[in-house]
This record gives sequence, C-alpha cells and structure tokens, in this order.
Amino acid sequence: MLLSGARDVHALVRRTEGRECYERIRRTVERAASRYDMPLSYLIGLERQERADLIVRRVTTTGLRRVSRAARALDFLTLFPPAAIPLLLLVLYFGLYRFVGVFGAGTVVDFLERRLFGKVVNPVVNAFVTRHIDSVALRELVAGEYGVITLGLRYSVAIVLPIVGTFFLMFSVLEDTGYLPRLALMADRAFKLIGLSGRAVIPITLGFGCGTMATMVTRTLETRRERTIATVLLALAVPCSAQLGVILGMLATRPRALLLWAGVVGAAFLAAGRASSRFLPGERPVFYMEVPPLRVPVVSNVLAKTFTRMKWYFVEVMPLFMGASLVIWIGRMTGLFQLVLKGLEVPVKLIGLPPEAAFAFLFGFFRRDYGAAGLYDLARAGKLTASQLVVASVALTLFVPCVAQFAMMWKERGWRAALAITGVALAVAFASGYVLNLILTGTGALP
Amino acid sequence: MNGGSGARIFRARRGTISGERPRPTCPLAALRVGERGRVVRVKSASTPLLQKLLAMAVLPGSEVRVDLNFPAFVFEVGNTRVAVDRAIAEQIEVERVTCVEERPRGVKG
Amino acid sequence: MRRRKLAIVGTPNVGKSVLFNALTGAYATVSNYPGTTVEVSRGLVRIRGIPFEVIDTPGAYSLVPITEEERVTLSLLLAEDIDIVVHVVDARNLRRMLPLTLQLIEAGFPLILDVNILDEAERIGIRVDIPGLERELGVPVVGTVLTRGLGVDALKDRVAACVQGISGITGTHLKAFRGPDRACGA
Repeated sequence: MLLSGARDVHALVRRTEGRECYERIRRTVERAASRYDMPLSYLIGLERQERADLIVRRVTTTGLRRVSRAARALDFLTLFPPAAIPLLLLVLYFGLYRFVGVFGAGTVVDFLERRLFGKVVNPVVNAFVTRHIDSVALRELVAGEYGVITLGLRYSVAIVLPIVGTFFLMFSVLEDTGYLPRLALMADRAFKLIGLSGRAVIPITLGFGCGTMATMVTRTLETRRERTIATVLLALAVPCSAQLGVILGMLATRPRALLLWAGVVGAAFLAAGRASSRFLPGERPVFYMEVPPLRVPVVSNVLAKTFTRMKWYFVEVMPLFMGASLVIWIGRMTGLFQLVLKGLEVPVKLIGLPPEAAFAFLFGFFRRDYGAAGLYDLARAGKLTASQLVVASVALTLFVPCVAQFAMMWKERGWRAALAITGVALAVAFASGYVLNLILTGTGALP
Repeated sequence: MNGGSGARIFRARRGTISGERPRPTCPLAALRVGERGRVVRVKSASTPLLQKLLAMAVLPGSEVRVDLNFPAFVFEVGNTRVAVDRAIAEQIEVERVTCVEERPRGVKG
Repeated sequence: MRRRKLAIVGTPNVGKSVLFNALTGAYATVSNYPGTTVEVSRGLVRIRGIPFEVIDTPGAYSLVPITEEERVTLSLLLAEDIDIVVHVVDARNLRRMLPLTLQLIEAGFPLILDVNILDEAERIGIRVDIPGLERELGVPVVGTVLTRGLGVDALKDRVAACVQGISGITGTHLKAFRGPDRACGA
C-alpha cells in the first residue's frame, strides 16, 4: 500500500510508526521507485492482476459466449455513428428536452404552481398571515410575493421537484439500460472542442431544462477543471427552459430576430468554452469509460434510484430556495434593491434599452420567469423595437441565470468561483448587448 | 466513415490468430475496426490514467479487438468493452495479432 | 456485546446497495462523508444475534484512490475500526474484480468475498468454483444472487462465524501477505 503511494497511507504510517521510522521507510520506497521507469503502483498492480488471472483461470470455466442477434442490432444502433448520432439526438430531444424540459418543467410545473400554489397554498397562507401577523415585515418574510413559503417553498416544490423528478426518472432509465456511456462516447468529439469530455453531455443538456440542477450534476465530471468549464457555460450561455419558453414566445413572430439571437448565444457558448478551456489551468480532458452491454431496464431498480436521488437532491436544493427568498426579503426591507435597480439602469441604457428594462434584469435574477416575462410585457406594450428586443433577449440569456443557480455555484464551486463567474457573465452580457446594439442601429439591419 | 467499415463492425467475428512471429508495435489508434492487437505497454505519464486502465483490465498482455474508431475508440478486452478518446488510444502500444484485408481507414480526426 | 463494524466494499453496480438493504432492512441513515459530496450509508442491525454497524462504502476499483469515491472508501477503511470487510464482486468479471480482493487481503483486512450475479454469469456460460476460490484466496467465499436474495443467509452465517473467529479456513497461498493477527478466523 505504501509502495503504491496513497497519501492517506503515508499519513497513517507516520502517525503509528513514529517519524523516524517513517522517514526510513520513505527513503526505501523512493530508492525502490527510482529503479523503474513506471510508477511503482502500476507495476504492483500489474503483478496483482497476473495473480488474479492465474486464480481466475483455476476456478472458473467459461463456456462459449454467443452474441445474440438483438445485442448486435442494438450495438449497431448505438455505436455506428450514422445510426447512433441520429439516435443520440432523438434521445436528447425526447428524453431530456420534451420529457424533462417541456413535460416536467412545463406541464407539471404549471399545474403545481398555478393550481396548487396559485389557487390553494398561497391564498391560504396569505389570508392566514394577514389575519394573524401584524408586522408588515414579518408578514412579508413568510408570505406575500417573495415569502419563504409563498416563494421559497413554492419554488422548491412546484418548480424544482417536477424537473428533478422527471430528469432523474429519465436518467435512471438511461443508466439502467447501459446507454449512458454510449451517449457520452458519441458526444465526446464535439465536447472536446469546448474543453469538456463526452461525460458533459448530461449536465449541459440538462441545463436547457434547469440550470440549477445541471450545475449540481456537473459533479459527475472527472476533473475540477471540467466541472468549472461546465459551470461557466451553464451560467453564461445555456438558457433554462423558463427563459427559453418566454424568449421563443417573444421572438417567434420575428424569424430573423430569433435567428440572430440563437446565433449570438451559440457563438457565446463556443467562445466561452474555448476561452475557459484555454485559460483555465490543468490538463486537457481525457475520456475513458466502460461500455456495458445494453439491457432492458429493471423497473424496481429505476424507481429506487429515482427516489433516492430525488430525496437527496431535494434536500439539498430546498434550503437554497428558502435562503433566496430570505435574501430578497432583506433586500426589499433595507432598500438595497432600489439602489441596485438604479445601478442597473446605467448599463441597461448603455445597450440601448429603456430604463424600465432594468427591472426585468434584476427580478429575472430572482424569479427567472419574471425576467423574461418582464421583457415580454414591455414588448407587448410596444416599448421595444425589434432590435431592442434582440439585444435584450441576448443580454438576458447571457446574464447571470437565477439566484438558486448562483447559490448552487457557490455551494459546488466555492464563493470565489461563483462571484467570478457571475462577474464575467455580467460583463459579457452587457458587452455583447452593447456591441450588438451598435451593429444593429448602425446598419439598420432590423427595424 | 466509409460504408465498408460500418458493416465490418457488426459482422460475426471469427478472426483467426495468425503466427506468433514478432510484429512491429503500433498505437491502438492505428488499428482498424475489427482488428485485434495485444497490448505491449501503456505509455502514459499520468498515474491515475494508468491505474484506471489497469482497473479496466487494459494492461500488457491483454488482447483487444477494436469495435469502433470514430468518434471515439471502442474496443473489447476480455468480457469488457472500453471506450477511450484518441489521445489515450495513441498511448496504448499494441502488436497486431490478426490482419484484415487492406481497406481505406474510417474517418480519422 | 460490543457492536462490530462491517464494511461493504466493491466496484459500482455489483450489488453493494442490494446487499446493504438485505442486511439492514429499512433502518439506514445516508450522509455525506465529511468534506465531500460522496454518500455513505450506515445501518444498525443484529446478525445472528451479534450487533453490527453496516457501512456501505462508495464504489471503488482499487485501494489506491483516484476518484473522490475511492478516497472516501480508503479513509473509511483506515479511519474506522472495521471488524470485517465484505467485498462484493461480479461473477461475470472476476478477472477485473479480484485485484481489489487481493489488495484487501494484503492490507490485512478480515475479509469475506461475495461472488454475486452468479445467475447471469451462468447464463453467459461462466461457472465459478466457489470452494476452489476459497482455497486459492484463503478467505471465506460466498456465492450469491442478491437480486433474488439467494445466499444472503449463508453470508450472514459466515459473517457471524468470522467475527467470532471460527471460519475454519486454513491454508492459503497468499498467507505470507496476511497479518496473522487480523486474518479472519485463521
């Protein structure tokens, strides 16, 4: 063990054997290591494998292994690129986008949020506090527009739970069938371009559903560097389902504006990936994975996995949303928000938008539906031209995602990374908005 | 990827092991789809990667058969199938065990 | 009676959690290992009347850690006073799993090897000689099909016998590697 160089073991030996003895052992190990050109741990590992092989040969008998016709057909579908790449796109589209993004984050969320909370929970809580709590400040803490129950609990139960649930159901199915590694290996090439390995396909695609969840799922990536790159991309250039929905709705009637928005955001995605993979220290990503045979998923396995994960993630995310509504409460009570709003009006005007848009940006940070929906209202009121609309959509997409995702970045990557990424996202959002505005008004490309 | 190699991946494989005379070694990345090789050594400076490959039974002496060379390398070793990217496939040195007829390579990158 | 600690070790997807659930039933607590995002489940249970704390360690391929999971598993095994380790392996892939068994034996852990998924192994034509494997390794070996609960009773018997020091296994070609004082039932 010591020869293999595990740090914990070194520490243990030093503790139990005394310093002097440890030093003697360490020198012996170093001498031994210097005699070989491969790491000692590897050589010992080879030796051990040889012994294992010997034992296995003695105690097992292997019959003829036949590859069934179905297995070969499935291999063809999932490994031969001309068949596998369309399949991959179908799985991502139906499995993640339609099922998680549209059904989970759309239909189920709508139902829970509008019906359960909008019509039942919130009115009851609001009525209760109006009757029993005199202090306005306390009332606002629990209920009202941004209360711990009316916003925090509603968010975590009505919005996050359906997304988490549908995602993990899908994920567990993919995992249980053994398809996941095949998906990752097909996507590996494309992800190498942005400094990630094929494993990143899951968190990035999930980001189009819910960025907060996706940021948490970056845990599955191999190195810290990859986790950071994925977190940056998710924060900056991957719009979540709520943003997507409203932006698509807003720009749908203007195909050229929609194309422009998609082009700019796509370019920002690539640029951010290239830039962070270039400037972040650390080794380039490597990709290796075992590819298990495909099998029919076992329902009880899938359900058990989904349930354990939902429970775990729910417990981790819920406090974040509660905390967020607490922050909003403090912000509103102390008048801090008014200050930030005034500050935001400066860059908003700089990118050629009316000052009212600042409200959309600030509250977009706290309630993702508010941000884009705020723009939507402005657009409907006829306060935005086509070019302003594109500029605003681009800036809002690139802008810091939402307070829960921010908290998740803080939790997963540490406060320094979270603040840095947020700063970069702010700068990039307004810088690209500024440039885009100059180009659009300069050329008059969009009326 | 040319049509031929696609068909080759999934054809029933009953490759024969040719004579045991020593062959020049090459990276696993140079093997064609369907070709077999025996791992001679893994040239990597990264101990974690060496350990990981060891854990997946990719080690000197193991016989591998390449199933796919794009977009990633997929090969069989024992009862296990392993996928690696090109960078790793370049670091695994093998000697060819079987020969398949010369054909143009699949897409390389 | 003193509560013994049993650690379940193995690569991902060999049935560790199934075994954990089979041993502990519903009484389990899941917590993150301090300072990490890795989950460790623990459960209190009596096996053949002996009180145990069962610990389900994160998936590990090797005792020389590369991943965060493996680091946690190693620290767990080193830091806690483990009375017995159950290494769960996949019968279809013994060749890849045995090195960890050997590592555990070398490190001197009292060990029971659980060769799981025997049914699927048989289906693809692999037969494992359990008594033979026991002789080769010199530690108790139990064959199981955990998904159907087969072999769990035998495993419990071996666990109980092992902590009482009566496993009855002698003669091993790896004996030189084992600390005789901690060897299970030797």
